[in-house]
Amino acid sequence: MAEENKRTKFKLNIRLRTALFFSLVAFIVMVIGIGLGYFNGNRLLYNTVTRNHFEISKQLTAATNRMIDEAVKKVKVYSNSIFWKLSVRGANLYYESMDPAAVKQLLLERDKEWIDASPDGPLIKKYLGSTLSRRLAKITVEDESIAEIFITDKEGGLVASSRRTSDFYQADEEWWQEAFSGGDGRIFIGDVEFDKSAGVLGITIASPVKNSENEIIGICKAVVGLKQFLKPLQGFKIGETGHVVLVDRNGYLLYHRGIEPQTARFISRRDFQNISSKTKRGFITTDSYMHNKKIFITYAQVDNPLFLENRILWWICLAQSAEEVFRPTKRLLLQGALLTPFLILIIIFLAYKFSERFIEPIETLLAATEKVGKGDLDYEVKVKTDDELGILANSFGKMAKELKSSTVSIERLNREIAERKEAETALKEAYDKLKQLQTQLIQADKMKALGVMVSGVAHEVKNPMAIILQGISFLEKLYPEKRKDISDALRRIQNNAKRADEIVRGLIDFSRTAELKVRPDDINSVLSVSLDLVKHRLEEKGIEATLELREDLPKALIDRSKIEQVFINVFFNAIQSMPTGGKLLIRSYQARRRRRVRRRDRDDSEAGGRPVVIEIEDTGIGIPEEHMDKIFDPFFTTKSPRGGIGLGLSVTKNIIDAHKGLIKIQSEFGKGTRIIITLKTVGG
Amino acid sequence: MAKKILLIDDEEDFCFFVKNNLERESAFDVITTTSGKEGIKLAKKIKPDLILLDILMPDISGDEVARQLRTIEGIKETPIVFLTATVRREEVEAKEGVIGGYPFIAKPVDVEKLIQEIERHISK
Repeated sequence: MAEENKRTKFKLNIRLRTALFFSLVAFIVMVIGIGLGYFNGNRLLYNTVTRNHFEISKQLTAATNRMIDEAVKKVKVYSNSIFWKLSVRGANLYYESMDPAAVKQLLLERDKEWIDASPDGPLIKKYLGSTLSRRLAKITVEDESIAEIFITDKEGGLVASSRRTSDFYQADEEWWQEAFSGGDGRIFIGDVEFDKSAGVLGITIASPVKNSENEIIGICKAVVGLKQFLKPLQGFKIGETGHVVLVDRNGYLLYHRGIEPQTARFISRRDFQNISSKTKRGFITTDSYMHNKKIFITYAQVDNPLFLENRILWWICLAQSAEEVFRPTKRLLLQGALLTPFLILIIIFLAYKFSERFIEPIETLLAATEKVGKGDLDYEVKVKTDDELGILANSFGKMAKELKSSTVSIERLNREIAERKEAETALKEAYDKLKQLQTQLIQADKMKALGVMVSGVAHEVKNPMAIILQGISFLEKLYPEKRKDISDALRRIQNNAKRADEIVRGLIDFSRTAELKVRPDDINSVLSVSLDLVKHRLEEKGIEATLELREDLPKALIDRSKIEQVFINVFFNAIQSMPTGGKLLIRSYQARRRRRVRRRDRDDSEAGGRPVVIEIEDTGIGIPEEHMDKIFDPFFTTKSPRGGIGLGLSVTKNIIDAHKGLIKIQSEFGKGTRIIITLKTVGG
Repeated sequence: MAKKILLIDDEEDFCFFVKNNLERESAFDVITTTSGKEGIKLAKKIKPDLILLDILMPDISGDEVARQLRTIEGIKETPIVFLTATVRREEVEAKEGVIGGYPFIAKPVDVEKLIQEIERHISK
């Protein structure tokens, strides 16, 4: 279960990471894309709008040009009418006989007269009442574009006028001189100005009046109202806020809806530089009569040749709120911003889905590593991709295979090691056996040597002992009953001499344990005989002996006299452990199993009979635990000095060892002792 | 007439005490010698009723003495009892063939037991 959790976690992890990574990348790309799109869109929009607006401005300019041409043409047409010419010629005739100085004198005088004359005076009436003047006045009424029109003669003197002019003498005026142009004659156009006599804002158009010889005979001047030129501009609109503006050379508005001409600047002087120097075709300004709004401005110069010739600078500007102009890109940006989260969600989803494609092989690999990790080296990795994962899976499979082969060889090695160990153990066992045998042989040799020595010593000791005992017998008779002290001393000497004799006997027994004459014999009869030999002692101590002997026992391989000695020793020990009486239980039976033998060493013939076991159990004082390991040592004894010499159990053990049998002692201190002797049987 | 016992044993002290003890406790006359050769001479001379013979002796061993005694006329039938400090029955038994199945008494020996044994063998 935990494994499953881990797996799921891993999967989620990798998927989330992938999705996050992709969405991060996508986000960055989108931000960059939107940024670039916005920037370039803006530029593009700027360029496009600029170009479009410029084109529109040009068209408006062309329209304006046409209006100018029309006005000029009109003035030209009027000035070339025959009637006008005749009138002017008539005026010129007046100067024919006069020298230029007198002419000028005359004109200045007339001018003075004109200025001082009352509107209803004869002079004014004379001029304005003439047929031509009435015609001119009619023109201004009929053609509302023309605010004022008048004609001068070749010297600058007024010939006829639609209304009273401020001066009579016009030759000192700029327009007159420009139009006269030293006698060459040309069309003069004056920039917008307020015409005092006409009371309108307009432009002056002056056109020379020429005779058939193409000589200038007079100058016609008309003031054309500014309105005339604004016609194409009126009502023009682009989008919601886009409109057209006419600006003069100084940046003052000539036309703007709802604003009196020449009362306000279009834009700041500094921004106007952009226009007057034609540095930027389109630009944005905040500094305008339109408050707090960025406006986008394009412009075109009114390029009528006559305007250019007369150095009149008019600008037709298109103004539109920048907000409106750049609204599309702003909308694009907004849409992009709005779309981004959705796109990111989609990308996360797609990445999440897509991650499956490479998670699957990873998972397969993971499962494979787990299997292999658990030792299933035959597990086949099934990844069928051509990419790095496929290669990885492939090499993983190879690794598992190699691992397998090496594992197999390790197993073989282990088996070999085990076999060698077994062999080693067998060898060790054999060695131990040999060693034991050797020890036994050495022991036997030692015992033999000891035997020789002991019998020599025994002989030498026994002889004096015999003499001592004979001597005591001799003395006993010399000191009869009445010398109790002497007879007591003699009895003590006698006892000790007998004890010494026993020690010698024990030594002899001990030294001869290795010499066996083994014959198949009935162990039960040996037990009975031995028990008989100690019978009087058992009776003496009040010990009750019980025999539980199996009748069907096989013959044991024993040296009868030695085993007799063993039993007697054991009986004596038991008797001594029960000084105030008790029970002695003697049991014989056949062992349930053979002595444990390694299978391969076992001789399967019937010869390997089970051994016989003899148990001798007493209810005596038992053996303290601390004595258990010393119990078989020669001369170890817990009995009183008179009790024994401590060779009994050691002799017993030696005899049993010589029989290749076993002797075991189980004892509980205070409760009793059980001696278990195991002896080989015929064929055992 | 008191029975004559010849004791041949190299231990002079043993001879002394056995002679005294036997003569006091019984009616036997005890003649002793510590030498095998001397013993054989004495046996020829006194013709004892029983010979007590030590086995291990410096000059001649007990069984050699016995063998020689058996060759002497008049002593051939005299009972010989070995006295031995080498105790073990099987040792003596092993030499039975050589010494002709003579009985033996192990040293050390009680006076009473010795008398019993002597009487038993003489009466045979």
